[in-house]
Amino acid sequence: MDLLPQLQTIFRDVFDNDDITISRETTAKDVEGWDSVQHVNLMLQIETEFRVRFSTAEMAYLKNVGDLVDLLAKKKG
Amino acid sequence: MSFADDYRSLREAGQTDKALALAREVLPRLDGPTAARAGKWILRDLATENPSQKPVRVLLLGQCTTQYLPPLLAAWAWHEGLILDIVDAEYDQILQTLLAQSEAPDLIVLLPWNQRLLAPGDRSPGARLADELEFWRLCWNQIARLQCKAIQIGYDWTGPGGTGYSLSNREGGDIALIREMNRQLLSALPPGTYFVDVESASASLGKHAFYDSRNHLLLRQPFSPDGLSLLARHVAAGIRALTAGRRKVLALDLDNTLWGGVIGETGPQGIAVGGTGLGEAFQLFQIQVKRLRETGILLVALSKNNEEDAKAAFLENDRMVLKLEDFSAFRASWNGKPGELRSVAKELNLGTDSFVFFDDNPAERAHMRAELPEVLTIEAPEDPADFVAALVEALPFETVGLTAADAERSRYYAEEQTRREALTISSSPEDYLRSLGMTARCHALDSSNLDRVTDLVTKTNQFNLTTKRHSRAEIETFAGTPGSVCFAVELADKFGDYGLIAVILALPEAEALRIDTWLMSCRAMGRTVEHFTLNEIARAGRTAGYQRLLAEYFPTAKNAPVASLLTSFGFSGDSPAELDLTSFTPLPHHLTGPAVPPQA
Repeated sequence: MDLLPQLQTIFRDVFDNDDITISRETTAKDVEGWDSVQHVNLMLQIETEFRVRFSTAEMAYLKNVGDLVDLLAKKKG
Repeated sequence: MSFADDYRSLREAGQTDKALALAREVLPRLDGPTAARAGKWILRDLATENPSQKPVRVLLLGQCTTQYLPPLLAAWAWHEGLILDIVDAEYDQILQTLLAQSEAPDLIVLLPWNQRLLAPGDRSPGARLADELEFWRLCWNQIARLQCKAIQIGYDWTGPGGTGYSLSNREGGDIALIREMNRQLLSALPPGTYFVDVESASASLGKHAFYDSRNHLLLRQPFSPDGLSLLARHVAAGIRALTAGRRKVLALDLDNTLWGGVIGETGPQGIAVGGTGLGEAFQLFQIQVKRLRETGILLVALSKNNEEDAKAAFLENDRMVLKLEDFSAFRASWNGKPGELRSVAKELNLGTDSFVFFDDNPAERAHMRAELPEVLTIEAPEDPADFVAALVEALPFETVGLTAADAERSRYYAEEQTRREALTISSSPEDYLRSLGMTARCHALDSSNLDRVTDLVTKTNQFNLTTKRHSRAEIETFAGTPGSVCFAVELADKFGDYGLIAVILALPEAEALRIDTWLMSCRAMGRTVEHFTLNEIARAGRTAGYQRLLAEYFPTAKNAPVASLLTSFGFSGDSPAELDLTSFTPLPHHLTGPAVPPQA
């Protein structure tokens, strides 16, 4: 299942910007406002929508959106 | 359609007022993250949509990170019909902010966190309590000086601590310490201050749901989104109580609200009230309402019924807890309820915004909300067993108690303020900082601290001159570069150890020393650590034979706090700014302690 469209909606909500387009290669540098604070907000929102729970380490370290997609895919089994 | 979709489409259709009304209504049913998003939209849309309503100016100060609270606070205040203009301070900058505050906001919210009270170390329980109380007293004195309203949030525990549950509530245990702290806070609280009993609020949701240890670790903010939303709800109830006063009237439906069944069909003996099961649920609800009546809340019956049928329940069924004389007005008719409520308000000479409405019928609630949004219409649950909880948790009648003891304390604070002014104890930020007994140590970078240093380089946003996100390997290379000045600063004060809080990476460039990275954790801000740090850079630079120190400020969305740092510290010029080390005089600061010479 392609999780990117659903994630993109969450990104647009959390960062309040309907122009955000994400790909597997997107990193925090590419999205305005994606700092450590918004990152946690983003992850909590993803937890709510996907009904998963991230560990502290998973929340703290992600290289890019691709990492996030893989992590979610693994969690959703 | 979800709430978020509904809000967006209403707003896009130019009906922002309807979107805001929707947010106000559905807020109690939203989960924490969604409520926070609603709060952001409310903050964005409310001021432009209601330019005539004067916002309540709130200053939010916390011993933990507070930046997640404003959207939720704005949302819950809007649920109470209030518009807020919220400013929050940096992490753990409560007293510094208060001391520097020249203009009074309408209201100050104080949010403690237990990190200092429960910090490891050998301070006795008594000393811990006294330290905290003394801190809040200093804060309250400042609030007295500013003459604004205040909300003091209490302390809370997230777990029983090392003693386990069986011993935690005994002397010296974490829970005992927290409860004693709250007791002392309450008895010392300046009169007119609203107290948020967060220990009980978190218990109502469950500590494990109210807190999220990941948020504490990653954000210095211990609450889960649901916990934060509930905390905001309690604070908003306090803001309502302090700015608009306690609500005064509870308007109640009768059939299926005060008793089970329709009295017009079953007669006064056929209704469900008393006994066990369903009837008991209605009886317990009546007991709750009766107790509200005893605290001074006026009761109004608002029923679509024949008056004679409705009154028969009170006159003929002796299992009824509420009696006819408990009601200040009794309206049983076939008229619309908003109209009846308006007429009762007129009769009692009260504003409709001091009314609370409880009705099991969703259509009646919708009607009331549509016509009188200022009435607090409680979302009655389907099961009458949950009525009591719904009535309590909606926080409709929260208030600031005022007793004789309160009045006496009022005098105490007036005197205390004069005493402090005479003695000038902590009457300035400098005195406060001196009283903290801060010590600092500089550490050369090595394998024992590189992980923490890398962590700071990766995460620090605010106090960060250049925001260069170097890798661990790069930092290690810098530290090993001949002629470089790289070190980290460790900070402690009389309350505890803050660990490594600042990092300097300075490299040789031509004949000069150039600061590549200068950052500091936000919890060390406002303590003159940066003054100490520059002195150490200068000392190490001079020792290594440099005459000129170069530095640069790269603006980002977050690092405005250091925009004028270099200029204020005597650097001249731009990109790079330059400091003459030969004529540099060390900056004054409030830290003491052994400075291990950084490598050079």
